[in-house]
Amino acid sequence: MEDGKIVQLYWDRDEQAIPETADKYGHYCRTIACNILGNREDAEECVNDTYLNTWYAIPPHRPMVLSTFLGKIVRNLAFNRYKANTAEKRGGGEVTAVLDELAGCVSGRQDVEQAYAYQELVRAINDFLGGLPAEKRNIFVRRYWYTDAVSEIADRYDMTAAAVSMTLKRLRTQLRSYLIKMGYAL
Amino acid sequence: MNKEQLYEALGDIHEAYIAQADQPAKRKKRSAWLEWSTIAACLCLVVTVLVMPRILSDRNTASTLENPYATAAAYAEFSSNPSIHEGASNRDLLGDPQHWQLPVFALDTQADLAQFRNRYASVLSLDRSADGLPSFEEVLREQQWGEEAFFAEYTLLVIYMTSSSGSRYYGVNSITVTRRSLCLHVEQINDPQIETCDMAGRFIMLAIKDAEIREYTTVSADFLKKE
Repeated sequence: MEDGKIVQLYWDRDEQAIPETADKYGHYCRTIACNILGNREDAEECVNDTYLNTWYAIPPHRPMVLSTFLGKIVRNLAFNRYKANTAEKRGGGEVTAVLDELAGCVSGRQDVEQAYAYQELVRAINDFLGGLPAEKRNIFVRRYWYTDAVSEIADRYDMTAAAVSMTLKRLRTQLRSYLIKMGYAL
Repeated sequence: MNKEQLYEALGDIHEAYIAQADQPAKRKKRSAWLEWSTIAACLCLVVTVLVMPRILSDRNTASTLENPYATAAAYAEFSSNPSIHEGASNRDLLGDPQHWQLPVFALDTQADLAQFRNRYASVLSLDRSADGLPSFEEVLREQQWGEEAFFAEYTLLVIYMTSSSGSRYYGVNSITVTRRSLCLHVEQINDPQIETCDMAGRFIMLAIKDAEIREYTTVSADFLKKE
């Protein structure tokens, strides 16, 4: 079923919206959640919470691209669950390695005083990504948004794992330099 | 800032980037070495004998000009569905990571227009106006493009593009022509102070005389990013 029709089911408060969403995007959401949490049970709970969150988010939202709308919700939910699990020293999927890589971009100090504005940071990251060639941007997004394993990215783009790792390393260096240039005290 | 905060901020990047990264990647075919080398040798021969003189000739006559064609912009629904490319006259050029190519639909007759409507009316909303732009159908009516008399003399080119903000407007300020090709350069033509965070689609429509467009074997469109 086309995204527009599924979204209309939500607007009509037709409960068929959930099974249609699960049918079309269940695998997509589970993949993102599993990449972050590393176990199916937690991932499945996050995916179910995603459907519930989506039910309450549409309306008023009317997303044009349902996959990315769902993806953002499940990514947030999964990462929140990951943080809770980590506090209890449990689990973690690929996201542990991803966070270790991102640690090289930042100081590590908790910004208790919110010295940066979140939206400004997102805008700076978008500007950085906008300046990248599409191929490199896709690799970056697959690693740091979808939280794919390096081997999965290598397979997807027909590259060696070493080439993907080197590309990501260079992109993280560029991101760090860009954020410093934009005035972030990293 | 710590790594968790950066990871969370990365979660809110443009949805267009997220969707683009989810598109299937073009995979290079691997084949037996002998078959590959044979194919490569044949391609070299074809390029040398047939294509190089044409490229050199084209290179010698490439000119970038101000867009001379009547042009209009219309609202379209956002869609990242790759099936949209199927009807594009430049579909073989789409997906090239080196150049941001946009799908171009060449409508030469009323039958072409009818086919375009059948294929895209529901996916791209040809009769919806929004973001301060008229609909595709409203542009056709206002410009009188789409009548039989129009198609007797002109071809309607329709470029489809997407944007990560409904506040952005686009146009064709320049074109590049060679003896055999026409490339339309699409650019953002406004600079909004505040941008909405919604995915948008756009049609850029141009009327080109049949006598002119028949000179070109390749008609394409690309996006010139703002510096």
